[in-house]
Amino acid sequence: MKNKKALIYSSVAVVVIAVVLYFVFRKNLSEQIVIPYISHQLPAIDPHLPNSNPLADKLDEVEFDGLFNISANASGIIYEDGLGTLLGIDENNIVSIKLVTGAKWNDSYKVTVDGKEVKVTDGNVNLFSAEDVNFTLKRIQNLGSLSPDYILVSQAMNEIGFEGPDADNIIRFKFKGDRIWTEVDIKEVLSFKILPKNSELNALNYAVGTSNYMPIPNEKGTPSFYKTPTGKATIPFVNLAPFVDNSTFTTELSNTNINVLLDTPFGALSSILGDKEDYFYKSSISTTFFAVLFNTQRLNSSQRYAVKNLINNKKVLERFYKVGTEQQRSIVDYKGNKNNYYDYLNYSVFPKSTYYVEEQIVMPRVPDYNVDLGILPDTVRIAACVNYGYREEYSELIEILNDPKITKGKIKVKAVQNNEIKSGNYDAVLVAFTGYRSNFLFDLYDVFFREPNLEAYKINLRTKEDGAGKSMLDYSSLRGDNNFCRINLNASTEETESLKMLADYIYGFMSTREIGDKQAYAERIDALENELNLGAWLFSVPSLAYFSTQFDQKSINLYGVASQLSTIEKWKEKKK
Amino acid sequence: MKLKIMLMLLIILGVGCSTFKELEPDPELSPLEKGYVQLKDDDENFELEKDGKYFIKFPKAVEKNFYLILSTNLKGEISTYFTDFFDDGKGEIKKISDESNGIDSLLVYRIGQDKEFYYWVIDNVKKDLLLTMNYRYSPIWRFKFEVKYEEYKGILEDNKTDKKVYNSINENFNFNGLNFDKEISLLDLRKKNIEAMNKELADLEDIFPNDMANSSDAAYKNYLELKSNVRNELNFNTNFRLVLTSFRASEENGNNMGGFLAGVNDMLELVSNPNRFSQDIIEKAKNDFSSKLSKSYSYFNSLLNNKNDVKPFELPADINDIDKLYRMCSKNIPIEFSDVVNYISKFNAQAEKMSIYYDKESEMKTRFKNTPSYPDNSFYPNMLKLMREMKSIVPTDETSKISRFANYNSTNLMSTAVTNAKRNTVRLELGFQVAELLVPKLNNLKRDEQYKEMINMLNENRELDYLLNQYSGIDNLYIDQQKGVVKNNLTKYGFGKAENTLRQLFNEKVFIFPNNVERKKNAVVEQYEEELYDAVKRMSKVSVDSFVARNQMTITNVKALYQDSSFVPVYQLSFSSKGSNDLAQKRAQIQDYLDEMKYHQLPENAIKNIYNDFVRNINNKGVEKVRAIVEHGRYYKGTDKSVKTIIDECDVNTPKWITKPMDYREVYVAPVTTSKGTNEYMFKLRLQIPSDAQFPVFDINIKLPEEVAKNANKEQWYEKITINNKLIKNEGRVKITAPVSSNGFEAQISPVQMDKDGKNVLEVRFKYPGFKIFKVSVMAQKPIIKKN
Repeated sequence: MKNKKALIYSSVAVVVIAVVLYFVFRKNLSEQIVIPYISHQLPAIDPHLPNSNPLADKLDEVEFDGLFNISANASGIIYEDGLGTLLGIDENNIVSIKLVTGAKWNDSYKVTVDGKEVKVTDGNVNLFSAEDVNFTLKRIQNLGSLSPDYILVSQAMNEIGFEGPDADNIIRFKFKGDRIWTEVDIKEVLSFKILPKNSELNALNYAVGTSNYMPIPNEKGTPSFYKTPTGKATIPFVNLAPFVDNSTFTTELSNTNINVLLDTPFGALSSILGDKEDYFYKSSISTTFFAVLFNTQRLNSSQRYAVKNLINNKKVLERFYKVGTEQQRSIVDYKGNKNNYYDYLNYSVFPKSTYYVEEQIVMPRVPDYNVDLGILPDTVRIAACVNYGYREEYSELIEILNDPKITKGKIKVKAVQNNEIKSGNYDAVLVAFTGYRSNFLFDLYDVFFREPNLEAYKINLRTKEDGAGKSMLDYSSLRGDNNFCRINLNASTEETESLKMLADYIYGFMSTREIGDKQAYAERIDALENELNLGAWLFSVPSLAYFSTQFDQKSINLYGVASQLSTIEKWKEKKK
Repeated sequence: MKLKIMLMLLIILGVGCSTFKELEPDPELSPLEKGYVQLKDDDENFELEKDGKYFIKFPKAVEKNFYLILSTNLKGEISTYFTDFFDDGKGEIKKISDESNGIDSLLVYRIGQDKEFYYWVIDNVKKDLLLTMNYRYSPIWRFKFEVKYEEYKGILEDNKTDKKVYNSINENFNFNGLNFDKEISLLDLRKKNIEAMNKELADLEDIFPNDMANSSDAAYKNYLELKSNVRNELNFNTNFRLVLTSFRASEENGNNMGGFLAGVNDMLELVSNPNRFSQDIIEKAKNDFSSKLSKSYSYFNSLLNNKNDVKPFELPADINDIDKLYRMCSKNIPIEFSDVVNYISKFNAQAEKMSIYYDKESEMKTRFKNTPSYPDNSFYPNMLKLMREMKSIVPTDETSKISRFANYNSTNLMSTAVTNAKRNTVRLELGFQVAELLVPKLNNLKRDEQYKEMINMLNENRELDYLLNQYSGIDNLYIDQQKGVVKNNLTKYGFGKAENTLRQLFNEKVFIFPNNVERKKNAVVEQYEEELYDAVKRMSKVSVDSFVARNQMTITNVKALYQDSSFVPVYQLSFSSKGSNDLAQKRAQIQDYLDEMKYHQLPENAIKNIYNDFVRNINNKGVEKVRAIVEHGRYYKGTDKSVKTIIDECDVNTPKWITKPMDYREVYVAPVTTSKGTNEYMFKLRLQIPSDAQFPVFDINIKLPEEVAKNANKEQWYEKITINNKLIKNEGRVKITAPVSSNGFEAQISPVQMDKDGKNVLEVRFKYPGFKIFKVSVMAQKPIIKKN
């Protein structure tokens, strides 16, 4: 009896101790925003160039200011004064901007970190000036079509540049007179992020900005940001938490190791994050699609056509999301549609969610899946590297594509190292294209001109001037070993001319600042790619972000994907 | 004494003042008949002074019919008169006439018994003279007879006819050489003279005293003797004249049977009064007359052959008198004469009756003529009585039984006439019996104006043509009655009853004389059909015009306005005598006007008026006004572009056209809900901007009212934005820029894709805690390429 009582008391004591220990040692992510990343894919931040790592582009908003910053409120996008204040535009389309005086580049501060204690003191003051703007504009101009900012700025100005500053620190841009420049449009054009004039033109990573957060050293060596003394951020820390792959992201969130998950595996709803008391989510338009790009040096056009038509992306998608099974992965889109899987099927290099398909500029053709497979080699070898993000999705796709029920035993997909891909040792390569824009600025360089190296993001674009001084594509851009499709425009094959034409179209598409031109090029590219059969455009995955209810949901206004962190300074923790 | 003297003088003076002096004869005047008596003044004659005025009072007569006879030779010297009243010449004087008949020495006055005295007045005396005068009271007859006795005897003597010829007439007397006409004229002249005298004598008898018959008065005896002589002469004159006229007819007509027969009456009188004439004369007459009559058959036969009517034979003498004469003059009467007399006698008897019949028939016709319409209740009873009289007078046809003349035309005519008369009377009697019963009913119905029942009743008795004729006006009355019903109903707007009445009248075929009224009936139907149409059209127009005028600013319950009965005809016509096409045309004409008012005038006026009122102050019931405009607009079928533009501007469901780039246009925004609290608002934009681009895209910039957008930073200002019903969300590829104070509360949606050939409708919905109209300003232009 005594033993029994002792046992009961002991049990109660254990529970009480456990509860006490939980409250004492539970993870506390207050005053910080913790975002996961793949540990070996450290985001390289360049505010003027797209990056294969979506997080890198999003961090642009954390560190850098433009003359005007894109932000959002409950009603949508807003533009806030950044390093400039719009004074107005006159009848001659002269836009006057008064530059902020006294804005400090964050290298003006000395930061010491002691555990969670961050001490910021003034160092050598480096103030923002018009020269920084001038430097930035020149960089953008140099980047040309590689930079979306170039398209943005060049459509407003015939000559990229400004006059000033005057004594009042006002600079004046001469905008084109072909439209009414609303305040919104002016601020959009002038929302390019500004780098300090002493920056390198082509650095791998840019860290000096003027925004609300600045990078601070971290004992773990992981990226960490702290609010600047003059910044408006309400949450002082933004920390990136490294993980091996994305397979554990949802668990990490549920374990309070992170409190923000900008992309869930498969873009699917997570059952373990289903408690609305603890989490909320925000869906957005898709930014990632999977495609199989064919090695043009190994598969001729007919074979590529056969493989393209062998892979029934609908069946793949159904398996991918386990549609109709108990393990079905549920999805939701930003319009509130649930499990609308087939809306994500792609039949063109332009994903279905892009402007070009959605507005029927491009009319993708559904493949004929009953093709003669006799022209194919015994096995079509597809390479896939799972080490640079999307491990979960890659693994699933490898299994699916290897299933003879799906690909009739003609395809062998193998998870390979990055070197295999770099060397081109594949008949085709399975690639996840991330961070694509669904607007006019869909990035075709990322698909066709990217160095086949998943570890580093490089666009192999070379241009030259034609006789009239007009920039044109240099066919040496695609050498046969510097792109996923192994296209060699200098080779002499029966396809070369078509491939050159495609490359020209792509350059035209990417470099033009005229919407009509983009539409026309999009049509041509889609049509020609259909003839050349360079890829099987499988499907996109939804974009779904989870947040801990540590945050006040109303303070987080997300519009679009690239700007997920545009309003980060406004995020607030929920009052307890 | 003196007083007595004065009184005497006054009396004397008073007497002396009279104008006329009374002469008082002495001895006194006596009214007895005793011949002439001298008028004396104590055996002296009265002295009359020149220029004197006198009078004498004569006592009244002792009997009636008396004369006062004054005999004097002074008639030339004095001026007198006789009167039954005299007061010194004063007052009205009735003078009794002097009947002296030109006898210079006499003054003859009727003197009566009514007054005590009668006055002979001398009102002027030409010179001084003595009145020498006799007076006499005498019965008037005596005075007159005595005065003319000799004259009478002379007259009688002068006019006596010589009897020599008369007395010489016998069987062998030959009238050759005798001028019948002259002799007869002389007889007539003599007779005339004697009868004139005889009349005067007869007149005297009237004033004979009552006891005259027994009188031994000499004058009276003379009178009787003269009178007897006169009578004898007149009888002879008459007889002789009859002899002369009878034989003149026989002697002077030779073969002229008609002329001979014209004297039958005299002849018959002659032979029928043998006592008045000598036997010789009678015998000669019979011989001569029978001789003539024996030749009369051919005359009669000729008459019969030429007879072509049923009137009585017009003979110079009555056939029976002829027959009688013949039989009195001869005992040997030929059978053919007897037959013809029998025939003519019967024919004439029948003809007389037929004549009466025809007279009554004429009377009947006259009565019908005098009562051409609507007889009173006594008409047919009287007619029936007349008819029965006619029936009773219709003779039995005896002439056809006389074989000698059975086939004569006259016989046939008579037979036919009699037969027809009998048939007619039977028919009419029966008809009148029915009519006798019908007329009171008809008259009652007529009094009650139940003309249709009358027509039906009369139609059931169509054989009574005379009755139908008398009531032929009922057709018109019925038509007029129906016209009145229609007219009355039109006056009271009883269009349904009016039309039904017209329809019934148009379809009415039962009339007394349909052919006679068909034209009128159709004219009435046509006229009032048009009036009905005009009235319905007019009233519908008045109603709808008034309604439209009243509701040109109506903003509440607008839908009900268009369901109002004012937009349907006050009556839906369902009949036209001209057929369905005409009916449809009329209905269409009315409905066209109503539709014009419903689908053009009312909405157009209301829309313009309400809109003008609305734009003056959009905050004054602005929502109600734009909703009213839209509701009015649902019914507008006009082509006025300004009206359609207003409707479109006010209709939140109508996308507002954006057709030019870079051009701000204002758009009214109205709530689509109706709440006292928060309402949902909506506006739609239709982008139809010309573009060379194959796939044109635009930015849409919307300048919002501050009160709508001022909280946009805290909560999403809009509920939903769609393009062609596709949801636009910021999370997608389209960027929606928030309206904030720094951008003048201008929102931007970019890019908005346009279907170049299709509709591109951008719809924006938002909520606002109020119920009012907002104005937003919208501009579209080519977008810029945006990074995010």
